[in-house]
Amino acid sequence: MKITSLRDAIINVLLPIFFGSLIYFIAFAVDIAPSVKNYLPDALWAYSLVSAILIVWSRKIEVFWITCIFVLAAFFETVQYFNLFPGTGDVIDLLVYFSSFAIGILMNNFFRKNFQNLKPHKHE
Amino acid sequence: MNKRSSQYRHIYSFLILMCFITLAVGSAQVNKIHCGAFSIESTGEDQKHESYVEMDDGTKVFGDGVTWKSGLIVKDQIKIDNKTFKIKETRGYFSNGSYFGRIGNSYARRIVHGKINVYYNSESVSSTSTDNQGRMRTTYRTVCTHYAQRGDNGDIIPIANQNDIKELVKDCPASVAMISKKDKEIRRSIRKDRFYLNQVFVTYNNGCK
Repeated sequence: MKITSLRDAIINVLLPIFFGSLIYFIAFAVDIAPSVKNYLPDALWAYSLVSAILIVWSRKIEVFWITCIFVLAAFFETVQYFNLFPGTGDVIDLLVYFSSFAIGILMNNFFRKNFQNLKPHKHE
Repeated sequence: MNKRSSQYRHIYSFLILMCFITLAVGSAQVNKIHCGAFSIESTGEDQKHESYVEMDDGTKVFGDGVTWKSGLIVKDQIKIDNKTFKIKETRGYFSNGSYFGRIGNSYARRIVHGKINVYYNSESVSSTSTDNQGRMRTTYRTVCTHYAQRGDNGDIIPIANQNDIKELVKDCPASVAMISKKDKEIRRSIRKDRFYLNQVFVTYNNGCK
């Protein structure tokens, strides 16, 4: 159980964060298409976050924490939009976050079955 | 799931959230050097110089006109007259009175030349927002990036704020004094003298005089 959870965490949390960071850092030295440079690290960050929360809860959808991360993403972009925090508030950023959260949640049953050896979670 | 286990999971979830917030905050790129901060008018380059492409080993290939292209589906190449080179094999090029240093697969214009070189690049970026009636609006703005390089062969690194500049000129008290002013005072100095930030590096490059 521990080993499969670890594999799950490596694949769905650490690797996305690693590749996101790699893109973020090499963007200083290498010319990368702006859409990749601006949105892919965000998408990987969001996917990694939702996966980490799902893994902690043994891939059971914990509504409170899943709602928290959606609210957090919306809050983060809103404070950027009103210049209360460095960066640029952008609706596309928000769509990228939400899409990545959705992908993480949609793939939950697959990983639940293959990594955690548990029965697919039924949405009530 | 027992109550104790559930409590731990709440704690872990909170810690995960904190870690990811820290990551997001830490990576929020703050470029405090705006487009007009450095003067790009007078670069101190020899205007009469013939165009050339400078290769990685320092050799120069002279010619009349320089063109280059870079992108995901095109070959990254630079052309001088009829000679073509891979961008990665070059250090920079000189054309129309300006020198351009290579950063990745593109080039940035050198605006200060000396012991520390300063480069400047600008690109147009779009951002989309919606108003209270749900209409989407895309706005375009110019984002400028400044870079510094120690000597002509050093790495070209981005500079984004006062501290980055201070770190580069730290062994020259006159330059440090110029850049250590409060934000407001620096803005006022730039309004008075468009060459003020360039002067921080020019002073350094002239032996701190």
